[in-house]
Amino acid sequence: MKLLEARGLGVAYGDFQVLWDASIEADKGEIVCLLGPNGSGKSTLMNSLSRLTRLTAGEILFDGHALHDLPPHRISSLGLSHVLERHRLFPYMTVLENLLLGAGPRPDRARLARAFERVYSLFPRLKEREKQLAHSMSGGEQQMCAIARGLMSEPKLLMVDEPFIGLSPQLRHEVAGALRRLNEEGVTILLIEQNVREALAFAHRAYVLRAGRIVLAAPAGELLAGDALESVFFGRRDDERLH
Amino acid sequence: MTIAGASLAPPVRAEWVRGGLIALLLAVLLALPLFLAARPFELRLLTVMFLYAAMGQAWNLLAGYAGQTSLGHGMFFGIGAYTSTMAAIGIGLNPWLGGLLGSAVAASVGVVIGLACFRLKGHYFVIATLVLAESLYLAFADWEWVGAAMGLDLPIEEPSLLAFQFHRDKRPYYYLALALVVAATALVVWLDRRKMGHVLRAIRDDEEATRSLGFSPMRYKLIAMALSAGMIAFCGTFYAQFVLFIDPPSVLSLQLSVMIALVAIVGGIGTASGPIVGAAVLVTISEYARIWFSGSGRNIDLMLYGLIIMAVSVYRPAGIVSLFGRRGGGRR
Repeated sequence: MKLLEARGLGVAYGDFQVLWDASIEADKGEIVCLLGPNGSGKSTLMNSLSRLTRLTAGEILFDGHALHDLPPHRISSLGLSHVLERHRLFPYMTVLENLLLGAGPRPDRARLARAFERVYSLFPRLKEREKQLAHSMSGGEQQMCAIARGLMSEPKLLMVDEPFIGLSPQLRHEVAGALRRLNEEGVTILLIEQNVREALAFAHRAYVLRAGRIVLAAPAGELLAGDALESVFFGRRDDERLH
Repeated sequence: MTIAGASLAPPVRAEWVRGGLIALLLAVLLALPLFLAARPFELRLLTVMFLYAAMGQAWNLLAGYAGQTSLGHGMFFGIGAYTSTMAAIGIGLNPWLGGLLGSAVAASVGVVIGLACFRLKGHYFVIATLVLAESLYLAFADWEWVGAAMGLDLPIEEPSLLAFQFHRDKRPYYYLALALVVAATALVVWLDRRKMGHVLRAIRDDEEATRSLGFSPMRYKLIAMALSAGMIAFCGTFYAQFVLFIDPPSVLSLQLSVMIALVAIVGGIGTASGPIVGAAVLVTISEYARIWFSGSGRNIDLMLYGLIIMAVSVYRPAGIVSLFGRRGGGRR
């Protein structure tokens, strides 16, 4: 069953178009990954889904709602949570305060308690660091806190922009484990990742972007087996005709 | 706010120490007029200081917490002063009610300005507020109905708390101004500890991230603007009742807008104690420098004043209160 269905998305900054005709779907319970070289439009696509970036074309259907008509602050309460690139915590607030804000403007008490219990069982370290200012934690802890903050609204779809960037292998493993556990609990995940092999081992399906267009969409296994990816990343001449 | 057994309030012991210091300061300020009955200069100095501290708090709510720097807050002061004064002259409205009316008018004007200008970022918002305030100054200086450049005299009443007028003994003004600071500070501290304060600071630090968490920045900025403008306007009414004469230079000038901002900036932007410390330092310096160093042809007082502001911004950009805090004052 489709949870997210976006068709023909276009984004331009002024006259400069950066995303063309992007269509992307995610089924309930899937882990979907966006791949592509730097500057290929992965973050732009994700930002356009959460409405932080304005669309010039296209429509987004999410769980029965037409997101393309909504302002960004109306998105999270519908069950779509976006963990922005480079975690973007509020540096001078504590972990607890950051998490509270993640629950949105009007969380009810029972839901809040449930959400806290869930993120603390997922990331026990955050419970220990509860009173600490966000900027005083390590990069890995900040990333965990950002994911936890994204979970406070109890999303159906969690979008994470580069969750593993700059993390040690140990922390990478920890964060990946947490995301997998969330997925097993039924949360659909859309993520951006630079490390292709790792991403494909993790995700069910992937979209590959290049120069603002989706050039490939396939199950992770197929992409791992074939050589289509190399041509996208290393840009063989004959490949240019695709666009 | 207590959630899942965790509290957002600072540690209990620090709270006690701070509470004790505040109580002590308040006790001294409450007792002080007993010794100042025959010292009108000091009494006036402190009254003006309180007024600026209250306005600094109000400005800080919008600029320090929500991150929207305004250099036009003098316009709300003027709106408050003119609204209550015109209502008193025109229909004999009690100044307390006039003050509330002025606050409501200023809050509405603030919301309209916010709707139009909050989309502007950084310096453009500052310039917009400055230009709007200057336009209002020019409009009032030309508008016959409100006395134009000649200004307005307030109708003189029998002195009483209800009439908000005291003639021979000015000490009631002192206490009312003190009440204004306490009320303004209490409001800011209360908001700061509630979710509202967190959301405002979140908007200041990262508007996009706050938005993606489900908060409408516009809505929160408008609330901050309305509260801020309303508080300043009530101070404007206080000023009109205190001086009993208003004209555009005294209640709508750019200098006033700048002073309101400076009080908070010099003291410590985004902190509850900043505007109080800032007002104490700036008002004292400006008044004494005027006595000691001013006079025809030698405006050294203004130079000295400028020098101090420069020194603070160079050596303590987070404000004077950052000298005492563990975390730099600018961020809390």
